[in-house]
Amino acid sequence: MLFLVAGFVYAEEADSHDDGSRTVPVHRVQIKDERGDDIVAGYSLAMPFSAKETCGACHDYKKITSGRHFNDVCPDVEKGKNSQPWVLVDEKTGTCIPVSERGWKGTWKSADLGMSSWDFVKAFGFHMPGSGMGEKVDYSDLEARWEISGKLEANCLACHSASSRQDMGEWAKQIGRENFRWAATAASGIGDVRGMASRLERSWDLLDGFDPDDRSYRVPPHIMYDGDLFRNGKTCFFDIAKTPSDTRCLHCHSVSEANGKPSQVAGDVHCSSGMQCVSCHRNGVDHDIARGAEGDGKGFSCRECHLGSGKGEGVADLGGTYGAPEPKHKGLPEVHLTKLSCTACHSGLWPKDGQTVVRTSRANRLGIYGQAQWDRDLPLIIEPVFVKTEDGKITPCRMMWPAFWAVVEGDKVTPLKADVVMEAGSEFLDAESRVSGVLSSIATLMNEENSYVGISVVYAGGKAYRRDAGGRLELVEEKASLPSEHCGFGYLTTNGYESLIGNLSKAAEGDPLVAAHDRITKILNLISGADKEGVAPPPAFTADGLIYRMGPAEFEEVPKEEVARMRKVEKDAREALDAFCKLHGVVVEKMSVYKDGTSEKLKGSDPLTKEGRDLKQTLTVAENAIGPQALFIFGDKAYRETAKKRLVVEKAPAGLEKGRFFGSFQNGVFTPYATADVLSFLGDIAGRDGVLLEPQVKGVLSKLKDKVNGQAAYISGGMLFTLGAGGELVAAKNEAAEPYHWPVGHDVRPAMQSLGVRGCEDCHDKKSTFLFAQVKGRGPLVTDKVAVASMYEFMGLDRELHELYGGAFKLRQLGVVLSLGVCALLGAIFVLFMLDGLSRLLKIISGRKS
Amino acid sequence: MNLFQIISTLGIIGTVSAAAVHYKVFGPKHPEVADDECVIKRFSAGERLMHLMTLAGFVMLALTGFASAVCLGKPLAGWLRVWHIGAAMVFLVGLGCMALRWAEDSRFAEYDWDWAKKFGGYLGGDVHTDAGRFNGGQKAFFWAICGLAILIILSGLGRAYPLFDEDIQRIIYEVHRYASLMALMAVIVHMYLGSFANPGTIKSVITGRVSRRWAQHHHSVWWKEIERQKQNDS
Repeated sequence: MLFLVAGFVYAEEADSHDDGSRTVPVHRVQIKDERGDDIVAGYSLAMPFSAKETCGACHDYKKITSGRHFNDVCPDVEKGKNSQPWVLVDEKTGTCIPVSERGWKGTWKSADLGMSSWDFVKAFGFHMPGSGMGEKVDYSDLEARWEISGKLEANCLACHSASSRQDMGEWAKQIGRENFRWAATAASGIGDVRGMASRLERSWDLLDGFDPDDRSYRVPPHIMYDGDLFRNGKTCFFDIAKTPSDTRCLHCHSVSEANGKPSQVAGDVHCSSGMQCVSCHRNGVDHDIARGAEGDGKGFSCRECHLGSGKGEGVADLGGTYGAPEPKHKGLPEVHLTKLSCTACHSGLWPKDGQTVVRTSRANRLGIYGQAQWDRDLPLIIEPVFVKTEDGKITPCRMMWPAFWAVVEGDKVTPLKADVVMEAGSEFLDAESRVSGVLSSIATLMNEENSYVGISVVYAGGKAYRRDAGGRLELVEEKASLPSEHCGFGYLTTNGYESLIGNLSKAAEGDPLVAAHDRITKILNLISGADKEGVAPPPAFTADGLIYRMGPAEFEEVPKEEVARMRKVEKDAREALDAFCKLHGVVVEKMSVYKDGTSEKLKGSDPLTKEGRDLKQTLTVAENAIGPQALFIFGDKAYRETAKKRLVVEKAPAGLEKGRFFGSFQNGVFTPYATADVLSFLGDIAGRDGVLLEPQVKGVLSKLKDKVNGQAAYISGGMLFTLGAGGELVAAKNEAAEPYHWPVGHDVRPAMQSLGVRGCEDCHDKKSTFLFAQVKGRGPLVTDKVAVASMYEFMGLDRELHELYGGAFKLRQLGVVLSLGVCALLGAIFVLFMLDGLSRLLKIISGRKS
Repeated sequence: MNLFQIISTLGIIGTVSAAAVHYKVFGPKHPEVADDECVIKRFSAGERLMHLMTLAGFVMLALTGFASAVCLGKPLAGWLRVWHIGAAMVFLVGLGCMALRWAEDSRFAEYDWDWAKKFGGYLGGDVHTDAGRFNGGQKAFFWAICGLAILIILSGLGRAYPLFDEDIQRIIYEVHRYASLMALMAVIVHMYLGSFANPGTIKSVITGRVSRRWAQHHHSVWWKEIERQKQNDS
């Protein structure tokens, strides 16, 4: 048995490749794809490299992926102390839910939220190191697209690449495109990945390659490896660091003040002295990374480095790791060392009223650079909040309050998925983009002079908003000449405001009704021709109890001669095209010429281009001859749609007797693009992300009421909101609304900047922010109804005691005087009586002698 | 349990047990003298007040301090700390006044040596020992408490206003709690001797008066002085 055990130990050690040298071997390796096949860089259909097969050839992939960065999906994983969770964020529905598979109190497991591993990777993959959920593939999940995207293997290079080509922003973009198996290759910079798995049909397979009929939209992911990094096209040079640099760690672990500038970040005193993240957060091949927390047994907690382990194990017992100074803590009563964590005084931001909102890489999607804006304001995380944590010590923490829509059944609160909420309440939650879509649609309305009517605007609360270049609403500076109660769509013209259907009394010298119908027709045609978010067809307009909508299209028969001519032109063009492709071994699509079997587009300097240009001319002539319009062919007859559509005017459904609205009308139901209620709060949400207003929440709750089994609720800012009997918002405390917190460990300040350095009153004072700062719940909902608690409540301390104790500090000087005075008195009495006793003793002795 | 918890538990229980055993073996000393009418004024109202203050302060200090250090096994914190600091102020005032008022009466005299040699007569037998206003044991207790108080106060100040680093703070803490333990043991003995062992004594710190026979038996020199004073006055 002993031999067997020894054999296993030997095998494990032999596997580590560590011969004791402190150098890092040059990694010029044969890269392999996920099937274990060698990759040839120049091959046009080359696969992305697989870390499992490439790195795993020498390193124990299974053991590595059992480490802390990957093991949260393991059923028997150690829970450990609270740490930063993933945060499921949906800005439109105001959702921020802390998610962790480790079961920390206050977090939700993904399964409880109805998230599959696919959903998990889609939501959090931007900052995942791969593996974990990325390899927990469930092919029976019909919503997932693992067959197309591939698994998300551990991305070893995310941490261990020392190359300046390593681009984790590219990783995030590839995750967004569902190019999971390609993401590590793209991020590493050894190849250029194009195409999007997210656009491919579900039936697509790796062996299918390119779609010959679509080379611009549904382009499968493919790679062009950088040949300069390969030797003989096979072995690739990886610039590998055994110990990851800080910048690798910081991609996922950055924290900064929400409104702070990078120049204001002081950093951590350890980093200033030249230490790196991995100096403390070390691991072996098992990647069981030391968290630096007390009691994790790794030997890299504050106490163990600065004071020693106290276990009598050689130099570790002595402390002074990396030259860590032994703290003297002069002036600090010992109780602080037992009741407070080291970080309480030394880490994070200085406590203040209202705390500081911080953003973290993983929660707020930082560090993904590009033209698109990836970072977001939600979730709102604050620090420092001093909390008595599980180890019984007061510890500075970051804190966030969950925010989500839910169904309440008794004590049970179940979160609703964002798409369910959006389906029910999009008119309230998606109001800005819906209104923006309408503005975009009606922007091109022409007047009789064939010029634009004006800037399309929406009026709300006496202010006019237009659509900006990014599709958001922005306030128009011009003062509106309308009363504040007016709301609706219109135009800002040189003569001021003009309503959407024009100024009817002034408009037509002829029949004003005809003019109004003409205007409505134009606008409905504009809207129905638009493909804008939030503008659902078919459009309709209601006014004064009537509903206006466009009737069905009218068709006309195409003359037989014209059909025959078009068929001949098409036949000739197709024959010319086929001959051209066969001759040159190319594929032609949408007037571009590609090499057959590839996506390589031929450029103007290529030898084929002369013939290509001739062909293009032929095809253009053919296209013009046929025309772009679709024909409907029945037997030997062909029909085409005419531009004629009739405006249908009919009685509006009940409830639309008053007001004028644009919206969609389907199956007898009219859904306004924006109701008066929505327009009333539009100005307050215009241009703001992640913000909900009370009318929105009320509106959505009223819509959800009939769609869920139980009571619909919204959680934000530490409160649970439901609709009262009178339709008002009722706020109540609930365990599901409690904040989640996790300890702050970094941004360690030196002794000179530690809490208490100015004296006990830094904390022990009635005005001390450490003890008495108010912590107000924060969330997407803008409201006064938030949970409020003082810092001492999170610490489990007694308010009266600390107010009294803090107040007593003003009398401390008196106490010192009294103590020293009594000591001096006792001392003086002692000395006097000692001298007296001594003289008497001498007298007695001398008397006896005499 | 840490060392201090063990030592202090043994110390306190040992002292109380020793007092109980002493009482069982030797019983009260001249109980008959306590029953007479108390006609001799021993302590003024001021003296009784300062003694009460010191006692109350000390009891509160001991309860809060030892509750934390012995029962909870950790340094003072929270309300215990507040009560401890408050009690310390009362104790300091009382002790300061007592030191001023009773230092003169606590000067050792030659007959105190005789008292010490006979263990104050507490080991049985009809032993008479001379004593002034305070006997040799009370004087020793006074000076012991004064001496320990200096240590306790300075180390307490060192705890409340730590000017030193952690290692020295720990030494100061040890000084504070071991000095306090010694003071507590001394006070337990003092309380036993002033109550069960010497009936009538406790009356003196409550009413301020003692019986003639009590004074004659326990503080003969002081009694003679009072008598002489009376004669001089008359």
